[in-house]
Amino acid sequence: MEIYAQILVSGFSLGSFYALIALGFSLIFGVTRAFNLAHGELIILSGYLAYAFWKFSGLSPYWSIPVCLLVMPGAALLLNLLVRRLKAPFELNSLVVTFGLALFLQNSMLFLFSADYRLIQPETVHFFQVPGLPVNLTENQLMLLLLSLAATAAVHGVLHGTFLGKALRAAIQDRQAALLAGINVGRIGMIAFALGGMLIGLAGPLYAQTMYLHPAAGLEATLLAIVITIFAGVGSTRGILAGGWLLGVAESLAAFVLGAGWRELVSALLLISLLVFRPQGIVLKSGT
Amino acid sequence: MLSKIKLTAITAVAAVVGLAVWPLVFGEADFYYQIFGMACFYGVLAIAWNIYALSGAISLGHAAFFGLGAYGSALLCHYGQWSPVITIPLGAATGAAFGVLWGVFFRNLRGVYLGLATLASVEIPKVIIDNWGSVTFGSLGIVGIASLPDLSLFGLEIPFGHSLKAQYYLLLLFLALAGLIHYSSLFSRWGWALRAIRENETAAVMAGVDIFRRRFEALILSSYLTGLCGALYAHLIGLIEPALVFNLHISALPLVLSIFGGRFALLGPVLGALILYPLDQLVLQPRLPTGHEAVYGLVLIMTIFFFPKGVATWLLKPRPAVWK
Amino acid sequence: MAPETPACCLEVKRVSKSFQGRRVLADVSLTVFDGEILGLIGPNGAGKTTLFNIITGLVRPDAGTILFHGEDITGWPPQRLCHAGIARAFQIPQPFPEMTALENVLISLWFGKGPRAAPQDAPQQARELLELVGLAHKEAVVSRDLNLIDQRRLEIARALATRPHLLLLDEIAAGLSPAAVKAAVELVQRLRQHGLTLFITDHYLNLTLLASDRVVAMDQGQIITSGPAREVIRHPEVASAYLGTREAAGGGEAVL
Ligand SMILES: Nc1ncnc2c1ncn2[C@@H]1O[C@H](COP(=O)(O)OP(=O)(O)OP(=O)(O)O)[C@@H](O)[C@H]1O
Ligand SMILES: [Mg+2]
Repeated sequence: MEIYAQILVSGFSLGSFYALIALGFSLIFGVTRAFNLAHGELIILSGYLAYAFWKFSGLSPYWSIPVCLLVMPGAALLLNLLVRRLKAPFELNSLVVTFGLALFLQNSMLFLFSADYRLIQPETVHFFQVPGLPVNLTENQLMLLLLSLAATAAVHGVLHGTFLGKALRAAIQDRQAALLAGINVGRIGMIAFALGGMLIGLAGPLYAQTMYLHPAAGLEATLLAIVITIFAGVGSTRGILAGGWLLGVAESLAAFVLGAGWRELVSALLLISLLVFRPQGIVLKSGT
Repeated sequence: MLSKIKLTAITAVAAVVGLAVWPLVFGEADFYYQIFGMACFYGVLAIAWNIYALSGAISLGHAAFFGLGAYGSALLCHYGQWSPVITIPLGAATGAAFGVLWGVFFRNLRGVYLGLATLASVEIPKVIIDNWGSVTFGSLGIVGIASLPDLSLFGLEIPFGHSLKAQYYLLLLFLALAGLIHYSSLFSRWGWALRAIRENETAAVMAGVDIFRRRFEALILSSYLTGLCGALYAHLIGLIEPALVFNLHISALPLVLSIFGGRFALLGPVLGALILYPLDQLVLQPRLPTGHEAVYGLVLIMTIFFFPKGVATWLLKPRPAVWK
Repeated sequence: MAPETPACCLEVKRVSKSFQGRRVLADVSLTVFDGEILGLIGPNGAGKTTLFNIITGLVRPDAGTILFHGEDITGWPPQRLCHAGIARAFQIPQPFPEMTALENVLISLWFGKGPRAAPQDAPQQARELLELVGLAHKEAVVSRDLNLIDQRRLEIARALATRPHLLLLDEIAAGLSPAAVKAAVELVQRLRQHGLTLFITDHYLNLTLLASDRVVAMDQGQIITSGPAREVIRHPEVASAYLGTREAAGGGEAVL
């Protein structure tokens, strides 16, 4: 029984992180309809950035977070410039172009950081007891949970509590109507990319402390983001959190029951099932 | 006056002759045999990908067929102790079998959603082979796969197993055959059905085209040909592992080569392979031993922005005149 | 029915269809006789296009059957219906955008209902069809560059190229000038003389009234009445259906 509680808690912690990964993708896709297949690669890039900063500065790994938060929105804005120039069919072209970008980033990271597996490893591991449960959390798991939830809550707050959020949600629900309502859709798209870039920036350092960095690791993160986005419907922060938790718990369970090697199959199979059995796809759902 | 289709055919024949004759002029050059042999190989892979794309489907997951073809043949060879001559065409059928699954499950997916589903589907055979170590040797892969047998024909020994020159000619022949298949995928009645489906599915079905059947046929042909490439690869290289043959690059390369060369031109995919692969191997690889494949990503991005119809449209008009 | 009644070409029997819980067709029954021109009129959103979609196999009915020359064709896939002899021109033209007008027609000749044209005869036959709809001079134009009227012409030529018995024409007269409508009427009548059965819709009534032998009126997914054109438009429910929607739609433009 204890072991299942442990799986559940680490699944929730991992799942919150997955929600963070999906949030950036969902925001960018929702507002601009750009399918960013390089999403995972950007997160890995941010992770390498954090790793390099941690290695060379000797500071606590958490200091790399502000650095990534500053740099990654820049990268995302560059991507926005690229994507905005695409012609119809926009979705398919954005998919193919970002596929090319993913390829480019993977190989650039291979060149810069080699194929070795890398991880930001703190010297000492602190454990925390979860009150009322026979479960321990590592400091890393706790930070993962807290920061991911904080970021999700922040995005939810922006979307639902500010004027900007109103404009973002309008663009997510119906671009055409937003345009007619006098919202500058191009500007809003830029803001979505910038916000998405910040979420990518935050996800990178957390990734580097949780999972091994590897130039080819981005694809899995991209698939995760897409599965959760389709599951939740665009723009729904609550749905994304629920999707992240479900996936996190499902993966932890699969890893425990079947073995760690089968974990990767979970998100791929879920994505295929969602696509095949939910033919209306992503776009229709917009209940924020 | 020459019709465009004749011009294309003449160019194709001239290219094949050119590729066949240069070794006679320049003598022994193993390095170049290998590079141009692989360029031909990737040309076939690009054609295979493009046959499915001609029906309007952009696949991001052809590595699944490639890897299954490679494993199918290598395992048959290992357990059955059969000659690669038999296991290659049989192993490739594993790829086609996975193509059948795509055809059934992805029947109603189009565009972006089909792309995503194909991308994710590569994980299935990869993870299974990775974890089913007792049969597939798991993530360590298979080493020492039997090389191609030597052939003796009319008293002539053709050492496919160890001569790069012989392998080069084999791959060139393979490319020429794939080129013929590509030709009929563009210009036959069947090819026009694919084009009709690609341009407007509703109109195609109302004109009497059996869209599911034709697209399915294109998929099976495409997956079998990709499986053949994978199987051949296993025996040419002698070693495979899941991370190698189910790699994202294997899915990406034919897509990049075809789009860069020109998806709707007979020679497009081949042109892409014959330009980009040697460029990559001769110019970039020596300077950037790791990461040189980034160029394929860059080329793809540039192509979509600056010449989405590919380079072949500059050389030869894509629209063939099939009637007088 | 009187014994001299001509043979049934198409019978629609109690067909119903809902989209997302909204009834679009409710228990629709009608018959198209061999060799006639039947008009189907109804205001915007009456369900005319949906009925055509069901007849051509693009949409599955929730209930009801469809017979073609006595054979149950409900649920047949569209290409099979095409080969059985049902063709259609869409309200929103559906060309192969990158092909020329001639190539568009050739596709229908090659894949439509036999007898299969010999490869060398096909272009000639395609040209004749383009001639018939008045598009011969634009055979080499890529169809995405054609204007709407020409795309409609092409639509009819492509439908004819499949060699149908029954031709469904969906709003081919919408937005046409009076002269063009007259030409369309002549074309429709000429087609009938070639032995075709025609089933045409129209929500501005002009083509239907001039060309049809018989008219069926529909509103909100239900058949209101049928009979000779003059009688049908005098039917009070038909008048109110039209007046009602005319007001609501502000006498709007042709919906394509
Ligand atoms: N695929 C669909 N999904 C949902 N609703 C649909 C669909 N197709 C048609 N409808 C609805 O069914 C109703 C009937 O539409 P239909 O196109 O058949 O009308 P129509 O008589 O052809 O009108 P018009 O004169 O404008 O062409 C409309 O209200 C339309 O919105
Ligand atoms: Mg209509």
